[in-house]
Amino acid sequence: MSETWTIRWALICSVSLVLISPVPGAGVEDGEGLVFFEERIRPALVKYCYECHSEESGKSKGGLMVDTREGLLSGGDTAAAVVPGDLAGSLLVTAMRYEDEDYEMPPKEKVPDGVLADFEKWVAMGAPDARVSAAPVEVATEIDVEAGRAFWAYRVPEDVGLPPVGEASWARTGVDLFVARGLAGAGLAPAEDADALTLIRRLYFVITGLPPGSEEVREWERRIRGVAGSGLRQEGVRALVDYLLGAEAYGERWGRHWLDVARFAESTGGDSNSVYPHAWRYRNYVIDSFNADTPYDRFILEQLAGDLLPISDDGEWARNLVATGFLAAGVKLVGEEDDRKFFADVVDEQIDATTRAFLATTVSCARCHDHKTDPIPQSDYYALAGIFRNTETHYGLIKAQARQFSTLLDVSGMGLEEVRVVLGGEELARLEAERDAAAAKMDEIMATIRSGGHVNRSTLRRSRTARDRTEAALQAYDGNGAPRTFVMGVQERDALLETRLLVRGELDKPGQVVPAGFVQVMSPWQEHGLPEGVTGGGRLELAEWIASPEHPLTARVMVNRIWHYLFGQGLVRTVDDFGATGEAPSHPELLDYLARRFVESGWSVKSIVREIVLSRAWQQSSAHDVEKHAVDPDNRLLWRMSPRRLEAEAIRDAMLAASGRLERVRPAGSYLAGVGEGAVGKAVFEPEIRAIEEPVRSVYLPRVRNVLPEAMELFDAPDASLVIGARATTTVPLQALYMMNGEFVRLQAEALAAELVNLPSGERIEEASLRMYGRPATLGEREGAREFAHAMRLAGERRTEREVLAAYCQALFCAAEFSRLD
Amino acid sequence: MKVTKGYCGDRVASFSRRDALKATSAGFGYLAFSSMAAAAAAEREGSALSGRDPHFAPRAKRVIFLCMRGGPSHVDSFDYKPELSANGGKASKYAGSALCPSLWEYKQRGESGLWISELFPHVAEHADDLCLLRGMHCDQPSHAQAFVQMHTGNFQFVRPSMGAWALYGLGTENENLPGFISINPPTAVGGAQNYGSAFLPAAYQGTRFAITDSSQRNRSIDVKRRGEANDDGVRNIRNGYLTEREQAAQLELINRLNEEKLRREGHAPLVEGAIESYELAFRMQDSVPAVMDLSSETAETRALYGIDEDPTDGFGRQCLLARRFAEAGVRFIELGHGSWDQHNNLEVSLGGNGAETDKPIAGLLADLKRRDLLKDTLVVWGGEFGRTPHSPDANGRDHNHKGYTMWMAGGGVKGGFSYGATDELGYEAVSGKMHVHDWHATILYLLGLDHERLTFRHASREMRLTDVHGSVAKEILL
Repeated sequence: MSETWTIRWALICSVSLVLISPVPGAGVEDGEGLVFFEERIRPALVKYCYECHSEESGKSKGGLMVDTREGLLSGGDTAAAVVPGDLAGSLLVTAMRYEDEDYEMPPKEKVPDGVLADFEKWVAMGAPDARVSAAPVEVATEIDVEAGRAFWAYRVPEDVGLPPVGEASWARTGVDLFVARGLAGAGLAPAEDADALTLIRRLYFVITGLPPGSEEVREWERRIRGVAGSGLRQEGVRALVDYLLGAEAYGERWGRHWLDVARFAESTGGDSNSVYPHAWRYRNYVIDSFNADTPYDRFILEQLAGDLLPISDDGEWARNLVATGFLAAGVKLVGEEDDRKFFADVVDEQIDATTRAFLATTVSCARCHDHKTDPIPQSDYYALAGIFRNTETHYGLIKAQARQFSTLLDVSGMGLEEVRVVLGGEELARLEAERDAAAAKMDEIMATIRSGGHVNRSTLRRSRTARDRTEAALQAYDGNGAPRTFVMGVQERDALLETRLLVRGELDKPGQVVPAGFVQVMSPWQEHGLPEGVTGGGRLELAEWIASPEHPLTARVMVNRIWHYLFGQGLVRTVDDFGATGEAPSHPELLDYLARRFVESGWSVKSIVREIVLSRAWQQSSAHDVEKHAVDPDNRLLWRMSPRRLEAEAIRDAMLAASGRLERVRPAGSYLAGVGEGAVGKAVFEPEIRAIEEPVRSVYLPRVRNVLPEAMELFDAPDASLVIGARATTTVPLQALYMMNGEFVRLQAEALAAELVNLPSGERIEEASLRMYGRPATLGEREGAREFAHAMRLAGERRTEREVLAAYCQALFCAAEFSRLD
Repeated sequence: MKVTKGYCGDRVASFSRRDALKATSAGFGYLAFSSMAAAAAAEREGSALSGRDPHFAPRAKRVIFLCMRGGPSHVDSFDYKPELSANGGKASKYAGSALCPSLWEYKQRGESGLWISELFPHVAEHADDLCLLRGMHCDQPSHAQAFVQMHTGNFQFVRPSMGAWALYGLGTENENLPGFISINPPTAVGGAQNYGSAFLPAAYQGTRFAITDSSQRNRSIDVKRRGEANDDGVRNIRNGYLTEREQAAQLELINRLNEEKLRREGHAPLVEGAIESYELAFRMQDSVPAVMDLSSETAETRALYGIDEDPTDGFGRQCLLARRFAEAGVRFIELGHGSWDQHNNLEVSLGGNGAETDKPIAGLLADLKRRDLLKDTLVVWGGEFGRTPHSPDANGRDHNHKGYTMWMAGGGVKGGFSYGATDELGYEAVSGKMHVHDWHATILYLLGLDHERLTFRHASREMRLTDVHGSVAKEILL
């Protein structure tokens, strides 16, 4: 069902909007007309229409409500249902006439001719309507936006210059000067430099999410370790940093960071949790963008308005559409009965994701009232809503399984990677036969129902699902059996909608019309309304506004995210909240310095990563210090590198890397691309997903909301319901059980042991330690290994050398050092 | 410095209120909060589950929630409707369907004389311990939304489940076992959300136990959905490869590596946490199979729950396990049974559900009582909504969220008591109305927790299980 009734209705409506502009309130309202309305029209509306289009039924199919005068006049998704005096322009009448087979109302049966005649007469009379609705309320704001601009986050970063070098010979870079000043202010001294091996492991994990191999450890140690007493060779460190930033693995790690922020997942979540089989394209787009170091301002434009950017060819257009998957991949409650509510929730989700991800601000708090803590009036929310309401979101799903479904964007033949193969004639014929059989069965059932027969509900549901699934399966291929290429993403609406503020966020309490625009308090450098001459919905302008070097938040928020991923905590620790309830920056001037550097670098993420990791502040040791800890327990001033636990992906990938089984080539598509349409529990089952153990990097494992592969779930990968810039880190015994007893961990330990056993016996422990901890084994550990081997012998199971080694390696995986970064 | 009233529902906006909020979240208040939060976090590090004091004296120490997925019919079980019987077959207000009286006969039970149908003859014997909540209602008549709302209070956003809130509020009484266990939870209708911790620390999330259910219909499908169920309940609880002695050697090596690292560094909370958690995991390898092992139960007890009998074996095992978990100090235990979604085949299918669960539930109540556990164990029964009094064919009912029945027993509620009522046909709650939010508030209250004070800061708000709603049904308290 790629073409839906709703879509056609929208198209028809848009045509009528162009032809005739409805004039609300116009029409004859004499006594006679009102009596006619009361006697003939209102009862008929109740009888034939309310079931699907009224407040009482809680339904508004196609966004249309007919139980108020405004509902009829403003119509459904795009335009008026009734145009007083204009029969041909009143969709209500044309639909009742059954003139267009795509648009017949009521859907079950045509109304009696007498009723139709009444409606025609009534519209011709000017559609008098006795139902009085309260006049829209004008909601005022109590917020003083101008005063709100005094808050640090809304002031444009100023160039205050670098702190004086003074006597701080410790400092090596601009970043260091700020850090040194902060430390000195608290009477603290920085830590020693980290040793070469610690730094190598740190750089590998932080930049690529993978550990160095044992040969790499040795090689880089040789190039980095200086002569005793002279510190590390920075040219060696720089070479390593450049090498790592150039590796594909960099995009896989940093792309994953962004996927957290983009609350990316391959299913709707919520009530039905239906699979998005095409979402993986956005995932790959993100990874590729980080590897290509796409300028961040461009990255913003592509994700928010890729469909509206100028292009040179189809391929570019298709790629840009994939980027708009950012707006399409959010949580959706596709079981929602009320179309208007569903649409409003999609818009809300897009506002939330956009403002949190790029601006670290929760504008969606202002959906129902002025923002309670930030200077964001409710009208700002509706200014943004006006932009997203004019966006059509294409996320797929089939009708029988989701009350709220949509089309996908077909970009066949535009050069995007396609994972499915061309079908043979036989296969295609089989799909057609299945489709025809399912359709015939459904027709039969409908005939039974129409003739008054009884059909089991579950039979009806199954048949409907079969009809839609077989239809969808066939539509995934063209007439020659070649797969069609679909993407999730957004398009601008053909006919623009007006947006009203909703009192308390309630759909039935419209307030004043709010013109599309931006968040006022964040627009110190330009008007917050759409620039003059804009004819579209404003999404491109919104993207440009966010991506502006003048925007007080955009660059700050992103460099703070980068800082967070590099240090384990941001300069502003509430990375997704720069508002009043967030935290102030520990080093405000450093944050501004980096924000300016970011913009000057052409918004290059790699250049900011490079700048930070080459600082001496970042290269400090993580050694604990009791006295400094007493002064600054949270290490806000950076008196050392804070140790941290690796993320779920890094832990799992590091096991695969150590075992030698890691498959470095990107797999085609996603596991979920192959399961077809449907919900988790129907098209694909939870145990299947949890148990997937392909030896690919974890970023390529399926990401279904609420159902993550085991290691991801246990080690705190987010469930993608919200923008998550800072993950939780928990320590629970189920993690320990997984590491001690889990099949996957044991298999990696065995694979590693199988390699180690080929080495001379004196080198095995060393190699294991290098692969897992990035350093040689200590004397104590060698002693521990011997004792362990002895204890295994005493246990009397007559294990082979390889088996004992495997048990040893698994213990090394379990020990805290493996999953910890110093 | 907690904002105890969720302010998104407060429609009174004024400068003073606004300024007060700003002060609590950004000014002096924020600093106080931030340091308190840090202290609380530090205190809880590695021991998030340790026992904590409730807000006031608790009536129940733990909860056993018998979750009947699919929407059990109240008019066929616990909500006696003589008017419905009298008008059977007459047209209902919904086109194409007629009023459908209960297919099961009602009788007055116990000294209290509560009306309970023959669908639950064994449970009915405990009528004087039951507190029927006949005025239940919720917001949505669709399974997923209502099921998630029943578990988390909110079907729009991912929120912590009530078990997670209970554990967050009280901690656990047994650190060798998870404090919140959900047995055989469904994977659809919200899946893991229903026992998840959402923004609460992961330590509070429910641990999913999978129990083999020999009498379950559609077992092949269930196995596919849940994975191969086993008698261990918890994934990875056994090491199928090393012997216990070998694993002890392995644990010793792990500890040695961790301790060496700790010695090198002096202070490393992450490493200390790891040491604790490996030791707990190692203990759980004994404690979980031990608590799961029903062989020590007498034949009489097993028979009480209907174990080793058809069709009660499956749910009987769950109920017996629930008692064992309760004894062991698990804070929140949820059992699952379904489906109760009888759109058709009412007589056979609903009858089958009754037959599978009636004796096990009665056995649980009897067993808790004779062990003196019922007084501080709150047993809760019910599903996401009820069903319509009408039926298209007198053999199936549709969803009804406007009025239905759940019940409680033990844990400080009145026994032999009926609270709330639906209209004379059973369509809508008309008195003693209890919304799911009220139900949550009441459950927390029985555990000694004030639903308005049990908050957690997330997304710049103090979040609650009951959001900005909920009131405690004091009428049902002992």
